[in-house]
Amino acid sequence: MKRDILFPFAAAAVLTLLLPSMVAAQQKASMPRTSSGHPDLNGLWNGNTVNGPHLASEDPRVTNLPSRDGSLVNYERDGALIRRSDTNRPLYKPEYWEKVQQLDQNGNEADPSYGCMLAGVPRMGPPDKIVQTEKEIIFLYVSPAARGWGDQYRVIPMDGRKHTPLQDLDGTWKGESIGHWDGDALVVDTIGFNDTSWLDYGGYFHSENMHVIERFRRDGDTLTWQATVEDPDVLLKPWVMNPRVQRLNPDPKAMPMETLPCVERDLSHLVTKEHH
Amino acid sequence: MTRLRSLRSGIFLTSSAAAILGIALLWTAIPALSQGKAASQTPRTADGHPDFTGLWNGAVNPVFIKSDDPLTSNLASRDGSLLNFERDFTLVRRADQNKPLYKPQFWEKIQQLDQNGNKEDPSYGCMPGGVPRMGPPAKIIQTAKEFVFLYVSPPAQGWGDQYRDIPADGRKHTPLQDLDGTWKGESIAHWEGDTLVIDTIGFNDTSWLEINGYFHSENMHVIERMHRDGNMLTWQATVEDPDVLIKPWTMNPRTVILNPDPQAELAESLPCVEHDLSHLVGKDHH
Repeated sequence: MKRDILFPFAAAAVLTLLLPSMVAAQQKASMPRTSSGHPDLNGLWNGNTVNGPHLASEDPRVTNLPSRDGSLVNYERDGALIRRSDTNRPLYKPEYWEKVQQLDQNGNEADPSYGCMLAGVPRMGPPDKIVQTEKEIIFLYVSPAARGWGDQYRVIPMDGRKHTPLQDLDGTWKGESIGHWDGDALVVDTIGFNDTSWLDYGGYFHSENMHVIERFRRDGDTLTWQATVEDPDVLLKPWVMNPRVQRLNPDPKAMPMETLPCVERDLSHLVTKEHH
Repeated sequence: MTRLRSLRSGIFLTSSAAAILGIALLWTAIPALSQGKAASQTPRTADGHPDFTGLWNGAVNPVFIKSDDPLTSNLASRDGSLLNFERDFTLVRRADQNKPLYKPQFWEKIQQLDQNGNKEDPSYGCMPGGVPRMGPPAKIIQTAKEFVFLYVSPPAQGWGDQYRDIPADGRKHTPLQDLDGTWKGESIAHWEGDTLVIDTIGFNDTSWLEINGYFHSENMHVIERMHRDGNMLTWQATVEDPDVLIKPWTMNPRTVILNPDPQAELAESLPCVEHDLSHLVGKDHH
């Protein structure tokens, strides 16, 4: 009788003892870690998952897009429509609303990426490949062939250093990035930009005082990237961009492909204001 | 061991415990010291290979020539002035006797490309340098399985920030006919003793080997050898291209110095602006 009563408790106790380690083991399996205990972000993350330009068929916006049935006809115009129907936009100060609209309407000439310029941070998005060491993390990018921004890389120091004072930095496309771990999230903090790059299509310009915070989180074989843009000179409040999810390439021998170089003289051959 | 034992017995005769301790410490310290010195000369990774990781952005052999070189008399502006720097540079290049030996049927083509280099040179149209023209990297990240080479382009050429991702996992090349010809090709690294050897095939025929109209075919095979000596890294490339060359061309070695500042980072390359090309009025090409 005594044993009968105690048995469930004992079993529960054993389970309670085991459960955390079982969960931990499972988490460990789904989250490879480096010898220092941080998530291991090494790998070729060049499989897009859910957030390409395509919409799920149950999305109400699909009705606007006559060519969704697997055809590439109108693909680029559809892409522009999807972008424009996105309600997540940076909120500019009223005095810049006209400027943003002008840039957007003349995007085929005003967009720096159409003149073979670089995308810069945060427009370049998540990297295609990550090489992680104790002291630094290397991001390798493969540019979309049609835009041809060239093979880009970023070196993110992880040694606890502080930013150079902003006034001592030359404004660049990639800025000065410094990384640190916030729990299991990699946080990359960047200042020191030029004011030439755009945050995204749509004429989303920024000032030299922009501050970008990117967060990376690995869950199993997916990597989620999300950037927050602070720019009090031109934005009413920080803009949290849409997250982007990359999938790990399962082939351990796969390599990033070489980007085609950009050829700028295409620009003079454009006849419409289409911008995609 | 025999010497150690006799030394110890000699010390025991003095009956000085302090002397025993002192000598013993010295005995163990000497090899440790000399090992420490060797390690600081060429650091090694856990798997015993030379460690190439670092920022290699100091060059020891730029285009300047030494004052005792007879070439100096041809160069009016050697005394630290940048006046005529670019034309001097061209002279120095042309006086270099180490040239690729092309088959006779290509001699005229080379001369044409060279004479019209300001338009023909792909790098003047913002195209990448490609291998081997891009030379030694400015930064290396070495892991057990791969090497990442990071390049910073000279602002005047503006090839943009380039990288190479080179596996060192013992894989073989993809068959040449299955490779799309690219600027950087397919590179695979392996160790030969302490020398890193990078073997590359799979090129386009657009890039040049160097500035003087040195074109190549899609069948080019490039072997780069890199060796670390202390804080210097020497790079040398050999170009095999039996379609157009009579014999392999071993390029001049280039040596780069490790940046001693552990916090130093690469400066971002300025992007290339192609419309400069239409503003050229002479055929100067440097």
